[in-house]
Amino acid sequence: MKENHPLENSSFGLVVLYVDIRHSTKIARKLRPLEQKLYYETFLNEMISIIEDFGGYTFKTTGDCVIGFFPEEGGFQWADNVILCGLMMIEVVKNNISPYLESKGLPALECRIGADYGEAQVIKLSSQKLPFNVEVVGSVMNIAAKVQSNADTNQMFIGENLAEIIYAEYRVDCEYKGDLKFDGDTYKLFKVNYALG
Amino acid sequence: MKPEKRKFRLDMTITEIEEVDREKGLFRFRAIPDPRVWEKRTIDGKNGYWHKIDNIFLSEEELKKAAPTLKGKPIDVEYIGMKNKDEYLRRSKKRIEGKSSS
Repeated sequence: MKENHPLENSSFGLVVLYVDIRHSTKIARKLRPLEQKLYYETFLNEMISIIEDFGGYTFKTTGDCVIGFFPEEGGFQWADNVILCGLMMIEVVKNNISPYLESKGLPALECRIGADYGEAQVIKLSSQKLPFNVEVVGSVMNIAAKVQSNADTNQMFIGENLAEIIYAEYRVDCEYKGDLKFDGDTYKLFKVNYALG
Repeated sequence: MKPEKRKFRLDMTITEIEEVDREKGLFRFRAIPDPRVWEKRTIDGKNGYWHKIDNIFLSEEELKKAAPTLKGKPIDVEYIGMKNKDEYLRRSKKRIEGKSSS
């Protein structure tokens, strides 16, 4: 993110999306360093490209996880794009990344995705040694991570706030999968079953 | 703490369209809340639409109040990006193989 980004020092709406590799620690332990490099590099780079293709930004990568965000704009297309992005990630993992890795003698790969919509703030960090100097904070970051942790292999889960603003065509194919608990409050989770054409 | 709701979405479906003035590009249309998620219901004597998933009732009175706010607003056609799976997969495959050979 550029310095003096207009989002700095303000609250803004966004969707946060997490995508990671299932069982990567277990798989990586069996790979040689160069194999690990290809395994992670192929996944992380392609996930970043997909986020950008669907109008999002990559916030950061942490090990086997990519965190993307989609800032709120006018209309709702930006929110619909998150659904298409997540579903396309699953298709790319199944149809492109896994076969490619297997052709190189590496194990197939599986992912899981979580996303939710909420409010966040950009804060500036003072460290001169970090590779980035801004951080996005807000409960949506933590909730999206919790939403993702409920997803199983090659599944996309979304939180209630995102579910309520996506296109009706995608919404009718969301399956209620239980609740997150917040001090007595409940927050609904949905699995996205929409099939890309 | 449960996150606050920031937005409300109401998708409409156009059911009838009628030309008013071809030269000026004027037309009249009738739209209803998307029937995939909204169904017509009467609750406490009020006619309106019930959201089948979110369990929200939107009365016709409230819908009427919203209608004038649309006056003068342009009709946007939002681009539905990259829904074509096969086309996107071809592009992604090239990218993966390209990065690996570079």
